[in-house]
Amino acid sequence: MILNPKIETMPRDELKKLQSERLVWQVNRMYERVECFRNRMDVMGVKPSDIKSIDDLHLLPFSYKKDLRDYYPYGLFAEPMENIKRVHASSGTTGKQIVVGYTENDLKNWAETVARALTAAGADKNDFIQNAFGYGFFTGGLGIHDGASLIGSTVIPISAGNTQRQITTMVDFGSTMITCTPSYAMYLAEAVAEAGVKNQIKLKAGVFGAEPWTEDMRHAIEQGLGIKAYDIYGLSEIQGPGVSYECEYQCGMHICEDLFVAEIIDPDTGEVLPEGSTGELVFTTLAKEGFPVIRYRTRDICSLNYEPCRCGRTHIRMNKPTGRSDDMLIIRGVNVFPSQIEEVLLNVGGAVTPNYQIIVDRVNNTDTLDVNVEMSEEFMHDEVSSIANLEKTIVDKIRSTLGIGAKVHLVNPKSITRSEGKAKRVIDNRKLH
Amino acid sequence: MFVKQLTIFVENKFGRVADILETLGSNHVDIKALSIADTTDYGLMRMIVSDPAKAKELLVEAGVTVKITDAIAVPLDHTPGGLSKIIALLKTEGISVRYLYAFVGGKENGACVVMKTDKPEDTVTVLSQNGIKPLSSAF
Repeated sequence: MILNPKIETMPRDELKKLQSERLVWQVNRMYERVECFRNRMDVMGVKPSDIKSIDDLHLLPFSYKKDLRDYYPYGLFAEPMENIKRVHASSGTTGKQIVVGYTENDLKNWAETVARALTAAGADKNDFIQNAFGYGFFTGGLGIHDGASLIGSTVIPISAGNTQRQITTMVDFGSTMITCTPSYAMYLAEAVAEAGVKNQIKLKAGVFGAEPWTEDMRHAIEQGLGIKAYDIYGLSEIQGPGVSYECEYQCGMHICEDLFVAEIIDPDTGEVLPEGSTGELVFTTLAKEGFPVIRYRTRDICSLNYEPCRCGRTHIRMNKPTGRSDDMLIIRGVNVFPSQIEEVLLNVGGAVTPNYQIIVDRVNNTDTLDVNVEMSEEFMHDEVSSIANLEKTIVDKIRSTLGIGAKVHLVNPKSITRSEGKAKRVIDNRKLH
Repeated sequence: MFVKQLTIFVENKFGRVADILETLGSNHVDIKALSIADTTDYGLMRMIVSDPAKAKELLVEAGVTVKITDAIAVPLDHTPGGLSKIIALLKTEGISVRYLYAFVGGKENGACVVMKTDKPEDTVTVLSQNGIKPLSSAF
């Protein structure tokens, strides 16, 4: 099913015209209103009047995740705060969170994109959508919620966690669709099997995102829950879930190109790569008012597919990201940068950053985060309770910085493996791509 | 007044204690007193040795984390109630024991207790006032 055929199946030349109009509008208002963008344009000697169509996109400066920290909290907003109706926040590359804002129109567009995704997965007003994405600062919960509401489905805002209650609710409330992270869906599938209630659930489909997942995981989820599993993509800097989504043919995720234009670039040189190449995904928000971005470097590595899709949608598809051009990890749906953990250790250790190693794994379909910290004389104490307190402080600070728990292990000095004298900071044992 | 105590971080791995003792033994460091506090993930080995500075140097070189701190070592008679008398004194003065380990030896029919309290200076004063003189070097 297609929610908005006029837009979603718009002929490409018309779509290009719409994109061009919106880009010119966006560049002009951002040049006027967003200091960071204006400065970069001036440095490059590009004037808003140089941008006449979407073909001129490559002339514009990039923007980066770091900008959100440098202009924290509202320095990149393009509307006065009285027009900002909601903010969402997520972790930045260091301890400081980053914040994005939405106007009423932004929230409407966001809900529409999510509604397109849910409709593509077969949702309509007769569905009971159990939304097991976390509610709060995370865009997953409220993003899906608003999209499901727009369709008129019955929303079950259960939020993440509490597996037993998820299953009871699924059975008792007759949920027909489920939305959550794919790893949690795997976990739910196992719990459903264990509880022996597979024949009592009415789920037909699920929409999953916020972390990388494989085709093997898709099959396991589909088998375990007896559903069809759809992928949804998004990031809070662009909007949240709904930037792109799978149709019933599941051959890449259609990008909502009336709102977001994608480019693939060489992450090292910044050059735009030819159609079909694999490189870093860059997004420009065409209609965003509150927090618009031009050429935002997502750091996700993927390719774009321009072939017409059998579903009839004309919007291009992006393939599942196959990696990152930075060191970001996605753990239980949460973005984690090793630098955040390093900062915690630096704060705890005083002047000395202890040698450390981050080990990520997936055990029983749940991501695990272990941090090995080499015991140094600065951390050493003759009383067990003092060392235990130190460990607890590290665990607590990691939890408050990242929003997820970690296990901390104190290990012998020089026991963390080094290659060419440099310690390998991250070991990711998950097979995600 | 105080003795130098080594606290050694022992990762919970097979053979760690043996390696540490081997390093000290083969370099002629004499262990006078020893205790191990264990937790799930690691242990702390506390010891009084003949040459703390040398012991630390050797261990650090062997990749072991060591900290030297002050502890109170008290000689006592190896008779029933010997240790009880000392701890009772501290209790009367409101002094808490953080950790303690005791061993037999030193002078003939003697014993010794190594401890850390929440008020080290007061501990020494109280004991001295009661005719008990803490040791000031390895015994």
